Amino acid sequence: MKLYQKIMALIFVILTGCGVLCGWLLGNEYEKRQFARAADARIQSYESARYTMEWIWQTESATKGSSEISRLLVEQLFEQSLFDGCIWIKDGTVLCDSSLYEISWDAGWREEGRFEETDYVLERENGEYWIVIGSALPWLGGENYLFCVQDLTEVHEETQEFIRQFSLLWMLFVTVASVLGAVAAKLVLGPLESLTRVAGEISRGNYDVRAKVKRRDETGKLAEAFNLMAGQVESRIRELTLAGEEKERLLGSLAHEMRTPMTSILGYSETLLHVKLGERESARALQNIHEQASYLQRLSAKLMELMALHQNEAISMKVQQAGELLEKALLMAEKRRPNGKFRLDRREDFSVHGDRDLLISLFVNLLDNGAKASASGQEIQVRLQEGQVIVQDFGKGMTKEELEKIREPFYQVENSGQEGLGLGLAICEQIARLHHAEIQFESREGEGTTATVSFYKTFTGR
Amino acid sequence: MENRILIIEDNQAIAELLEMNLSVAGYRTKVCPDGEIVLHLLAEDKTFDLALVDIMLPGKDGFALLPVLKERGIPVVFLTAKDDVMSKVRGLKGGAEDYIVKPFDVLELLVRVEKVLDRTGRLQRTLTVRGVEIFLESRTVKREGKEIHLKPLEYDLFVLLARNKNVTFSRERLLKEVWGDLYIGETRTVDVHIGQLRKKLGVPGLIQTIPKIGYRLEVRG
Repeated sequence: MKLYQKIMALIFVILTGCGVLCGWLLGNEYEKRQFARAADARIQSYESARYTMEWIWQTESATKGSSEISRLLVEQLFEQSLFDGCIWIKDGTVLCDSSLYEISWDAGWREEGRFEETDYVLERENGEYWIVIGSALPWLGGENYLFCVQDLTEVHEETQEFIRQFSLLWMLFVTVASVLGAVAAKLVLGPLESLTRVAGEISRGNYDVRAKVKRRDETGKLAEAFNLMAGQVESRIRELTLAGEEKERLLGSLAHEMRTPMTSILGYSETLLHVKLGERESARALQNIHEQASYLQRLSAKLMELMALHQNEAISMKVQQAGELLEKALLMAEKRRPNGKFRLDRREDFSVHGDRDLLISLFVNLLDNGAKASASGQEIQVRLQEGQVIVQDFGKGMTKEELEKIREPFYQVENSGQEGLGLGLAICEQIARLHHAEIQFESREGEGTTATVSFYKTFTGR
Repeated sequence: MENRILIIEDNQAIAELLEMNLSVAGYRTKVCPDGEIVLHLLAEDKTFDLALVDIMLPGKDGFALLPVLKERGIPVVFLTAKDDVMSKVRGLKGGAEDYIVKPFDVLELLVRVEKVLDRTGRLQRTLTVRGVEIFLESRTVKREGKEIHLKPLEYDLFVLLARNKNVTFSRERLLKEVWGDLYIGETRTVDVHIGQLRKKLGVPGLIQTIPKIGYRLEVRG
């Protein structure tokens, strides 16, 4: 059962219940009042009939002194319209009766003291309603009573008619309200259906689908939150896909990169095994095997480093002084390249939140690249400014095509010599990523290269 | 006259490996590490019988060099780490004679080079090993002017060894190269034929038994 249907059913049940309760209470109350009003009117006419009877009786008996005449007079009176529905009972027997109602005197009334004063009762029989008004006639002495009976069935039927009309109207109203409620619920819940559809799409792998809900109410907010979540999921998935692709590329390049030294090692060893070589050539072959095997060894060590970076292990982020790290890096770079002429400008030193060893390794790699591109004795400038570390060399520079490829693992600029592995910048890139930093390169052939590391988020001020 | 082979390969270790093996087997070689330089080289010297070409090269890549080499009548054998089918198809459709993927088997490379030379009619007509002459066109063998009668399989075996001087072949390899892939036999067969060959040639120490490996035709110097 859908939510809007539930809401519709609930509205229907509640309103119907209310209607029945109200109708019953109000109907009862209304009927009671109608009866009371009818009774009041009747009592008035009863009182005047009683008064007329008393007056005639007393005048007649006072002047003529004969109660017999008075009785005849009263009997005459009973045929007149004023006494319509009246009954005179004396000592339990009906003396005069102008009603259609059969009344039987109950001796208990007297003992209970009922009808001493003017009183009325409502009688109900076979769906007919009657009002019986009566009182004792003390001036006649003995047990004389005057009753008056009136049919109130009409009043009851009127009330019933009223209740029926009320019920019909009410049911109409309830139906309309239920339908309107369902429509409103459906309108309000419409965005939920759209959300359900979008969630289904997303689970099927279409991460770029978004819910189109433009509302300011709760559903609008829900859709907004949902879209935000979908966006996050999409970007995370994209990140993972990219990382997976990158790993695949890395593995592909690795397989290719290993093939060349493997070819040499296998080829030379096979030659040594199968071919009769001179002493000099044998030595050359062995030397080549050794060189290629050491290259493979260095390659695997670097790869381990890169893999460790990918797994984010053992990184301790602390606040570091960039200038201090650079000085350390400079010392290491100088040891590696005694011909490099590094100059550090620490004037705009800043602190950065990061891993000391990784950052030094990043800087050493950049300095080393600078030195590799420079001629012996050419200056390499290192500057610090506003969360950025800039390494600038004035060496041979790179072409646009080279610049595009330098971040790829195993890529090496032509004539950069055999010693490199082409993994340095891939490692730098990974370290930068761990620090939410960005490395940018600017280069012009023959003029040199500038590498800029920008610490956006981990830059913690001067 | 010895066949000349042009090696276009930028990796120094591999170039040296090829050079070493080809020269031991009796070829003359020339190494060129750059696609651009090859063009200059070919302008001066175009008497190569075969080119071993790497595909990924600085300057011009192997695919770009293929038409240039073919124009000068030099058969091309690609020697590359690219082992995807598309590259193979592209290389062979472009007119390369063979496509060898790194890492390669040195002996296989030598045999394939020889097959290509044979196919393109560039192999020497005669081979000479320590006074024994082989006339490839008439399939005859002479020693000091006198003809030696060899059975066809003995002749093929001798030619294979003579063409790859100083290279050791395993018995399995010899079976495969001489008897063919379809032959199912024992390596003893090879020993029997080698024995016959030695007896008929009568040159002591020409075909050497290398313990645990196989046979090789040895020529000093």
